Amino acid sequence: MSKKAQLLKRQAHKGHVSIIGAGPAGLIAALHIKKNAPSTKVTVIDREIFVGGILNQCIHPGFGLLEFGQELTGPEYAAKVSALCRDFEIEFLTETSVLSINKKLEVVALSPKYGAKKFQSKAIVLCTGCRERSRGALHIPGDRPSGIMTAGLAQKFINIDGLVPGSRVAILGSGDIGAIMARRLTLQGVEVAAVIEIKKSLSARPRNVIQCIVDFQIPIYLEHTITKIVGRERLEKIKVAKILSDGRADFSTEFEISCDTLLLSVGLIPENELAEMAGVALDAKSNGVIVDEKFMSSIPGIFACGNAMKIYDLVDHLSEDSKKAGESVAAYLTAPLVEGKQV
Amino acid sequence: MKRKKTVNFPSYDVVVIGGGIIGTFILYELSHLPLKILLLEKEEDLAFGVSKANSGIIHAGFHEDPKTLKGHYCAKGNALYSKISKKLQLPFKRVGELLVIKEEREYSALHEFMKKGEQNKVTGLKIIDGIELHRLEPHLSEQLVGALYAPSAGVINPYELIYTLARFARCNGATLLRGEEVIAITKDNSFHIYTSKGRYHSKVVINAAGMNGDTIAAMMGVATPAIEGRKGQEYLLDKKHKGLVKHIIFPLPTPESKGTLIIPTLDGPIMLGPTAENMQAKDREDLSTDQCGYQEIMERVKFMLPAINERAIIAGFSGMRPIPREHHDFIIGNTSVAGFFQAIGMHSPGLTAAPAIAMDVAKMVSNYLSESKLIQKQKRCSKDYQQKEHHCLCHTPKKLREVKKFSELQKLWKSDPEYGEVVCRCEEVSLAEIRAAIRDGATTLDGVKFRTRMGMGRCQGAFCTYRAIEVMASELAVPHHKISKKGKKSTIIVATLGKDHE
Ligand SMILES: Cc1cc2nc3c(=O)[nH]c(=O)nc-3n(C[C@H](O)[C@H](O)[C@H](O)COP(=O)(O)OP(=O)(O)OC[C@H]3O[C@@H](n4cnc5c(N)ncnc54)[C@H](O)[C@@H]3O)c2cc1C
Ligand SMILES: Cc1cc2nc3c(=O)[nH]c(=O)nc-3n(C[C@H](O)[C@H](O)[C@H](O)COP(=O)(O)OP(=O)(O)OC[C@H]3O[C@@H](n4cnc5c(N)ncnc54)[C@H](O)[C@@H]3O)c2cc1C
Repeated sequence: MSKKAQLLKRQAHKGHVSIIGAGPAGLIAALHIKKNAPSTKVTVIDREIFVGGILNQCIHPGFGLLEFGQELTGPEYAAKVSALCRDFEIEFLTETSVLSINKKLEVVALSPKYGAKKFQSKAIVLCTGCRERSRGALHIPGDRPSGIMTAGLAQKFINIDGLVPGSRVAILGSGDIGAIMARRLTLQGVEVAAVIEIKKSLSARPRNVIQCIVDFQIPIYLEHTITKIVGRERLEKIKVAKILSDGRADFSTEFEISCDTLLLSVGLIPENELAEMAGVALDAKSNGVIVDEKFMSSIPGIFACGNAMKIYDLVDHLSEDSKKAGESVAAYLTAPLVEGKQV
Repeated sequence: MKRKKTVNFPSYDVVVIGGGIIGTFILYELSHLPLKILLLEKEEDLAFGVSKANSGIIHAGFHEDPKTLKGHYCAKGNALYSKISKKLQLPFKRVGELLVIKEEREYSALHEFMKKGEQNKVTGLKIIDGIELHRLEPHLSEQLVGALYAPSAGVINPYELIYTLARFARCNGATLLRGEEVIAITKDNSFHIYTSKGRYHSKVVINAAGMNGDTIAAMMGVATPAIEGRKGQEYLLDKKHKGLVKHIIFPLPTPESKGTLIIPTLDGPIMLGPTAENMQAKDREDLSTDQCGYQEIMERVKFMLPAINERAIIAGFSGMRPIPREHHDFIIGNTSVAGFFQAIGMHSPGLTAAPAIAMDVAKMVSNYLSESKLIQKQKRCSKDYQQKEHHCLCHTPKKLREVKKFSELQKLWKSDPEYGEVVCRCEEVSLAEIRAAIRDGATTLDGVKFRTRMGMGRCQGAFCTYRAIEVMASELAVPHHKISKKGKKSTIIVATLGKDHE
């Protein structure tokens, strides 16, 4: 390598990478950026007090078989990954929300601890995770009582604080989180009255279907949907009907299930408000960041991985990809400058 | 040893029943007079009745018949909003209304509305052609050929208005009690008002009880038309789609309602609706939404705005218009019982008319009190309340989402580090704002939501509810399972592991 090229390389090294989100995607990306571009300053920003993202509330086992060859719970998996990070000099800004990012790779963040901060980054990695689809997006007709929440919120209540959100529960949708919550609540003595799924089969992974729903003999209603929510204060019951081949409800089959809680497990949506603000191209259908094979978005220098890019159903797969993302970010940062631009 | 107490029931000059926009506005107007005043609301918070679910439009006033109270008060109320929003430092935008038509022959209808509007003293009305219409609103359907343009129409946040009025009234000395349902009223020398919690005396009673206006009137033996419900479903779009329209878009109205509208709400998201469904008296509390209403709205809206995307809908809800049977107008003023006043049957445009109605009702009440020598006519020293209101304004909490500049962000954080914790990410609501809402009287999630917009965005509370309950429990010093969505049995948590709930 020529002296000039070496010099350029070193300059490029001095870059600062902002990673937004300290879930598994963010942690693993950080780790592999540091491994491959050691002199890069890496800052991982997360609004929560603890790193680990959504894994902290997933206290069930099933994580890490592929990645660590060991069956771990979510918090254990997160702890393992963050322990690996400790071998490197990675800056963690927790309790810090990123308010905006832009094309110029500026990041504005806010924290109760030290107020507003602005970073000029050389690269930004979006690891902001996903959110759960809500009732409004499905427009389930009926009243608007309390007792209707996403399965993930119920999971957070019960697993983090021991707060039980209901005594007789119905679950709409059969995603993995719903399945895991069906088991969790049953074990807690809460009656799970039904899992209602519009499709012909349950959408959770087979392992979760068997271990969380079938094994507990939870009634399953396939090709059914909720036609009405009833309850002025707390949820009292739901009306359920079979669906016709065109997707509409067949009201002649309508029946009632009494329950005080309805959990929604009807899909995850990549959380990409920041990406959108900067003008990053998103997939119109999934809302995931569109990336190339190097995990770079439509804006040079802005990368994405984890659930913000596409919804994974297994953390191990997500980690594998996030590793590759970290490596490409490192390659991008260490690439020699050509006419002031990185190649 | 038990001691017998002689109970002295609290005594007031005026008791207002109902904490919706009408009751609260009247209370605010009365708080500028030297009177001892009380507002009683049956729900856990103000603005939980009709006023919580409406379109938030300050109508121009061309829809109403000039001979009705609606016609009289709508345009008058509209004009007052400039002053009131300035005084309360409340955001209010005169975005303008466009009443659109799809056929040339409908121009005659536009001319009729224009004439009505001019009789109601609506200013700035103009009939525009298709070219001008599409210049103003490029996304509207090509099939629309013209419109009546009313620049004075505006949008406001109805809850914010109510809570601000209440704060001002409180700082001027008014008392507001919530969770107190009026169950009986009797009258001898004065009125005796019995509630679910207590008993009060008053020289004057004002019935502003919304859907229950007829029930309260019946307690006094005052003949009033029965109040029937006319339901209106509304659907909200993700704020991403704001800017699709800039004006409020109206079709030609039906006898039942002003039709299905496209509303650029004050806070950004576009709202579609409402429907107009006549309910039986027993169903006037039924605020459910249904597929029919949804489809009807989407069909009508798509006709005017083909670019609308159904996938962008984040929430749907219903409101209920209180319609006096066979009366079709507001009921305002004194009654056969001296000292018993009413402002009921407030269907649309009740929100628009509220400031004008409140001014008149306050005048009627104050005249009654002085004429019947129940109180000496005296003006409250305006300096006194101006100072108090100024203090109140200075303590209006700032909103994180409105701070755009970096330097201002830092300043905001310095004023209170809790502005640094973003609790609701979709609507950018900080912990400081949530705490302020609780200190302003919010005891429920909806109370916090209506004051701050927490949970109103695209995730509909999936992220923030957890933290909100934690903050509310600690701030109100109650266990988590006592926190509810909207009071009564609407709690969120039913059990705590390892603990017995009493
Ligand atoms: C409720 C729920 C339960 C799940 N359960 C399982 C399971 O049991 N098994 C499984 O394999 N997978 C599960 N998943 C899928 C899971 O999301 C992924 O496997 C993995 O945890 C996602 O990793 P991530 O890093 O992409 O996102 P996350 O773990 O969600 O991390 C994203 C992080 O970004 C932070 N963040 C986002 N925006 C900002 C911002 N603007 N400023 C600062 N910080 C920000 C968030 O606070 C969060 O900590 C679950 C998902 C959800 C939503
Ligand atoms: C779908 C819809 C859209 C609308 N859009 C618009 C619009 O865009 N512009 C406009 O100008 N108007 C609009 N309106 C009309 C407007 O919302 C109403 O006119 C207005 O909110 C009525 O206010 P209120 O104070 O009379 O009633 P409420 O808000 O219902 O207040 C009455 C209060 O009295 C309380 N109460 C009842 N009984 C008792 C009791 N026994 N003891 C104590 N308290 C009691 C209730 O709990 C309630 O809080 C709309 C209405 C609907 C339904």
